[in-house]
Amino acid sequence: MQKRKKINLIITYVLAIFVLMIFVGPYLWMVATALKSQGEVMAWPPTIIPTEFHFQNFVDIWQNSVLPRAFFNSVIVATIATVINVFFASLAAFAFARLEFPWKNSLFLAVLATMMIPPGLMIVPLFSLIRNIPFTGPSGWLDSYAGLIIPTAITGFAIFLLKQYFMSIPKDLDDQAAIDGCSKFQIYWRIILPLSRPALALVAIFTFLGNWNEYLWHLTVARSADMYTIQIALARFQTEHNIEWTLIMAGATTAAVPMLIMYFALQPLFEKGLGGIGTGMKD
Amino acid sequence: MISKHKSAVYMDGKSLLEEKIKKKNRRKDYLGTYLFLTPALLLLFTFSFVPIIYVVYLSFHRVRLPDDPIFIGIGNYAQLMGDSVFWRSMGNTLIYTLGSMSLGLFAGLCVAVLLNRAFKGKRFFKVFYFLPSVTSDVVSAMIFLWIFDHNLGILNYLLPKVGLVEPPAWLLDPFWAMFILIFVGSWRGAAYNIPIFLAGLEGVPKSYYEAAEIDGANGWHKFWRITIPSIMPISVYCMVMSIIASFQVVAIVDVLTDGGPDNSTLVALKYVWQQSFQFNYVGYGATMSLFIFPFLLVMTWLNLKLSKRSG
Repeated sequence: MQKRKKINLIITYVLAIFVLMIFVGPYLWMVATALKSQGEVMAWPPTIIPTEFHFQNFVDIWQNSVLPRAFFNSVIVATIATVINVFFASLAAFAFARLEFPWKNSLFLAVLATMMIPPGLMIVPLFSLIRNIPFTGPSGWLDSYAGLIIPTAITGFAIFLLKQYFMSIPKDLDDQAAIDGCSKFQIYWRIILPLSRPALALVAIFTFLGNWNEYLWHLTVARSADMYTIQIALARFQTEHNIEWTLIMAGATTAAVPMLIMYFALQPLFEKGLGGIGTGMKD
Repeated sequence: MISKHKSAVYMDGKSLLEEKIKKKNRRKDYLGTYLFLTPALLLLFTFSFVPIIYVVYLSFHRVRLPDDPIFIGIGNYAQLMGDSVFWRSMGNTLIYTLGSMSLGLFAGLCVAVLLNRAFKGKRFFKVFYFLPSVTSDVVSAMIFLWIFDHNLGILNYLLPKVGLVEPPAWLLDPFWAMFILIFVGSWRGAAYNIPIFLAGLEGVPKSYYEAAEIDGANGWHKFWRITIPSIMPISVYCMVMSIIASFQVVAIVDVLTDGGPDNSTLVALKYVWQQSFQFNYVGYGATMSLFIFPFLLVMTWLNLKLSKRSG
């Protein structure tokens, strides 16, 4: 019996490491390639670990490509979108969770309805819409930060999630504050927001991640190389540098690293959020 | 309704005045409330609902930018019916969606079952298995473009070592090109599904298994009779999410095959994008988007219903 248990455990580890190779191996291969010289990549048979670390690839793409500018654009776009979503969605969520007003249920249903719209299929009309934004130039918000950020900044999911979270905070707290003379905005700002840090962080993380990794909408809006975001620039870079795999993998690494750092640094929050996704965000 | 009832109760002059002040205050209250709501809802509704109306409008017009739209009735729809490339792209999308969904669900469930065993270092594995969901489609696709490269790809070095002397032409071959797309799609899908399945597995009460053991059930029985039915709702959720995402795939295709070879991996949304923005038939692109819309709407509606029920 003891022996059988041991064999079972060994099988478990072998399988776990095999799966690890499938999910993490490709990333290691990406980094290994990014650190090789062009000559070493062309060598056959291939080397698994670079014979010498060739950091020059990163210097090269940083100096002679659109990637740094695109990296900067993505930082701007993702940061502003995150601030907009966290602030405005939480304001609206507060109203839905705590205030009474006409049409409340219908408006909330409308928010839920926005979550049912497949974003990919809205690209064409959304493009036409932002081309015709009033009081802008002939091409509207095309090829601008406004076009990259604003149409997709607020998500129905953020309002939904925050409203659920706010509703779990005991109402006595804000009644007490109201008696002490707090205005509604003060209740929102001083009581609800500080108590909702985990939910706000979750919304912030997923908004940032979503904007950093966005491809199709940014491809539609960004017309000039100056407006490329990181994913678009990376895809372009790859078609231009067809077989220079060291540079392409260095570019891919550059695009992936910020998200990987965020993922590992904020591990507990990810864990909490992901457990919740499948169970409909219970808490 | 409530206010009407109240004013019927207070009939003397003083109360009517009070009622008026109350009403005025309440209106002021609502004004404050709308300050909370307006910024978010204005943005969200404008960029969610206006495009839906707009897509219908565009579908009845010939739109060649920068010219103004010309009304052409059902011209775009007639074109769509006879457009064999569109139907081909729909077929490709269906193959991709079914493939990456089933593979992503199956692999995700298998790994979750593995992680549900008790062993040291489980958390470490769990953290790393999720990586493909954190990086973008473009990055993932690019790594596999390199791995499956027919000249220098690592796979063509490794496969002969395990006996496959002549590896296929991978992305240059229609069958294998679609296979690789499905592989990359399900690689990301499985990684996303694992923590969800795991949460589901951990939620199955231990007493169910204990009761089954008393009745003499073996491991296989327990899996089919207890585990599978218990995680059914979560599986349906994963399935719906996966269908919605897969149906709108573009980035992976752009990087890996660009729709080729010979349109064998041209997916619907990529064709929509090409027609609208490369060939400048914006109206026709809108028509195709609208045509695909109802199918996905059923899926997203189902998704919303499921997540609300479990929550």
